[in-house]
Amino acid sequence: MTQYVFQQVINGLALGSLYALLAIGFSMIYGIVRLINFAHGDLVMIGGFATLALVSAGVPWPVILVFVLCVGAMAGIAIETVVFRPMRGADQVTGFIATLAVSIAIQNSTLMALSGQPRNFSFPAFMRQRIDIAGSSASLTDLTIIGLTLLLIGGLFLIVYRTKMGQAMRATAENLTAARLMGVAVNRTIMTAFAIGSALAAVAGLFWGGKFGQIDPLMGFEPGLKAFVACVIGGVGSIGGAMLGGYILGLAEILFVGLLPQEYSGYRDTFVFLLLIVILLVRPSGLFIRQTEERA
Amino acid sequence: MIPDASSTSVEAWSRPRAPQWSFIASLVIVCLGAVVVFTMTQWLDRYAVTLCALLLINAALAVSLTVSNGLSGLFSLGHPAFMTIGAYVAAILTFPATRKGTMLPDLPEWLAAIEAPMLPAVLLGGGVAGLVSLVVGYAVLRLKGHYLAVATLGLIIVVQGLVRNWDGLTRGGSGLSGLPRHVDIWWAYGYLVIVVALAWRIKYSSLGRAIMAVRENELAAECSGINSARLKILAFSVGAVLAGVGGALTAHLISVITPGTFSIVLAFNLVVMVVIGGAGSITGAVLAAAGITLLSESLRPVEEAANLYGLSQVVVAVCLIAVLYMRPSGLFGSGEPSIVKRIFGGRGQA
Amino acid sequence: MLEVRELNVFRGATHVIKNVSFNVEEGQIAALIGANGAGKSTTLLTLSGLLRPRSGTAVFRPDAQEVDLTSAPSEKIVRAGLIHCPEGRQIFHSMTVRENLEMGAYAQLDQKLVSKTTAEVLELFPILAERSGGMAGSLSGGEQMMLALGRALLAQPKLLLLDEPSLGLAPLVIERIFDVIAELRRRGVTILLIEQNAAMALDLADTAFVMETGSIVLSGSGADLALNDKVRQSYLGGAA
Repeated sequence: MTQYVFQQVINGLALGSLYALLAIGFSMIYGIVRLINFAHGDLVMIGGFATLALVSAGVPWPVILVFVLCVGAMAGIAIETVVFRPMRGADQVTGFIATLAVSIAIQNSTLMALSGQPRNFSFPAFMRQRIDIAGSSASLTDLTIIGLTLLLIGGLFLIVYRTKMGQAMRATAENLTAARLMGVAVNRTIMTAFAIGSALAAVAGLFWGGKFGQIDPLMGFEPGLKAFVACVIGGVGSIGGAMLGGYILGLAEILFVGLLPQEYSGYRDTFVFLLLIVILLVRPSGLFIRQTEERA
Repeated sequence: MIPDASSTSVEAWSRPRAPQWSFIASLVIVCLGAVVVFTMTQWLDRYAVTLCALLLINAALAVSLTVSNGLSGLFSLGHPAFMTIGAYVAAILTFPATRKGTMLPDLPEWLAAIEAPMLPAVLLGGGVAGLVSLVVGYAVLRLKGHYLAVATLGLIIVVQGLVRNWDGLTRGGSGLSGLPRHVDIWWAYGYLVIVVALAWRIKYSSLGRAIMAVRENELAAECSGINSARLKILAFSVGAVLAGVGGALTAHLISVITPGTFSIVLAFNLVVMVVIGGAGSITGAVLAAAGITLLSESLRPVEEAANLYGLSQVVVAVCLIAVLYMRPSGLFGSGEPSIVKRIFGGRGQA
Repeated sequence: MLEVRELNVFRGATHVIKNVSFNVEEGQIAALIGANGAGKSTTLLTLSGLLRPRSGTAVFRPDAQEVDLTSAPSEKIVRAGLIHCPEGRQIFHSMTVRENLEMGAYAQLDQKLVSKTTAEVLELFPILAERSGGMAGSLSGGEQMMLALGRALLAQPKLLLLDEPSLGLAPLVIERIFDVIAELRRRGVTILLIEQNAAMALDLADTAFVMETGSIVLSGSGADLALNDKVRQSYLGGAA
């Protein structure tokens, strides 16, 4: 029994890592431009297909990881400069509709180019072996995902809290006007936030493909929406909150499926979104943030 | 013109001056439309007529979204959820009792015996959707802007999840096929006429102005004695009832309903229609719905010939982004073109 | 040092600044006074590049360079030494006092100069040194104003735009702030000051401009304007 629970927890942490990577980017972008970026999930898909292309080209895995980060960053910059920058200053709902349109355009362009057929891809065979930890076992894939995610998040925190660019990002997120008056080049700062957030999302796509073995053009929708749920759990706009929210959501989802009788497992997504609605109603500013800012 | 006792002086002032005339004009237009529909049924093949019927239903749905979103400024994406509810309720009621035994063996006996005619089934479908919207609305309408949008998006997934897993009632993921084809283009046309008339009445009444006042400035509206929470739920629920009816009609038009029939893509397309038409503009919603349905249907042969599935959605999305760039308030803003107003009689600020 | 000619600024459809022209000479304190909504803050926001004029010119000439304020991006304007200390202070509440000061020096490349100026600012406002690790949001209004001023000083201003530094502060604190402004002039910083508190502003200013509904209606030396009947009636609250 304890072994079963242990495996479920590892599984949940791995899934939570994916959500956390996505939610952090989502939250950074929201924090800095107050935009719910619906297209964020589609970067998971872009990351997944970029990985697939690089794998079939025979590129070694560490290089793939770096490449996928770059692909995600470039895609994020492209989306920001082409679509969102001209719309900056429009009201929130207009911005949200625009991100929805970008998402639909990305999904369907991919569908046109690559057809809706799911593609298989997997990590190298040795990743599938199981490792013994204190009498229980966990898959190397899950452990790698958990470990690499922690590394990436650590790197992100260094950038945000220990560099000048990170400080400029935080300043811009808090008060755009004041940041401009300090001489912060706001466009470049916003672009950087998009680049970093999107790079993390693309890596989540790499992990997603490796964990579930399949990718398809519409795969980004569900994780994108769940990343939003994770953000809401942790408080939208807070990076640490988004990370915790991601882990909480991943664990909750796996434990919901793993510990309840089989016949309820179909209700997994229903459960997640009921959770979202309940949290929005009870603690709209998230579980960890003490603030009364209206969710307007 | 003598204002009735309940109307305020403002209302009397903004009433159309010649209601009889505009009533006659509207009637003439409705009849002209009926002639067009009749001509279609005579000249077009079955597929094309079904397509036109879908177009009319889509236009009506866009108008209903104008009521629940455009006038009130709420940004709900929940329409497909209510359509799914309406469609399933109606489908279970109209399904031939003889086939219920094999398709839905677990139905309670009283439900299994029912084989309702179309009209009550549709109305009940809309009614149940409306009831659900009251409960949901009470909870989520406290949220604003894009938080509401995502919460209602979540509602679609919740409803789809329930429908997909509630095998005994819905036959799960495989859905209900072979529904009686009770609905033809006349149903669709009638639905559109009723929805437009209703939306028009609401928009140019004191109720509609109150709802729009909440959209413009909730605090100020409250200060003028408007119960904004109740109005928001009302607008949301009217939209939901109409969506439930629309879902029921669509299901009986195409004779099948599955959990994925009314998806988030549909929510997106409806929002696109409202945004391109101009949030709050009924004329805009009808024209945009017609335009977008025609556009994507005319691209369908291209998609099939060139194996480019997804092309029409890309085109729609790009059109939307272009409109957001160039005319963020939509083609018609939130008003109606003056010629349309002249015919149907609507005055006052809108 | 600053030359504004025929400036016209719109906010939406509203014509907020109408044909405004004025000069600020090096080493001076210039005061811009006027009622709420006269267009004073809009003028400053235009000078720092956050709003763009529809027509007119605004040129900033520190040292030998020349910056066209109507087209240069705000970060370039800041680097040239035109620093805007905005209305309502606008400090970064969720950052520490130290981080706020660092943000002031954001555009500075010379780290030696930054640490020298930091030391000066902390000497000028010892309270900031005391609270340097605390969140800026927890400071009192007067302390926040000192932080905002300190932050602006770290940007090495040649021309400092001050928008309502006395707003909402206790009289003693206001006096302290005005002392600092006078001290800044002695150190060679040119200042363009917006004030509701016209008496104190005119007392300090070398030149002053009175703004009404988007236009400059009066200008002259601070002392002259303080004696002007119209100014006394409208802004100094005193009888003629």
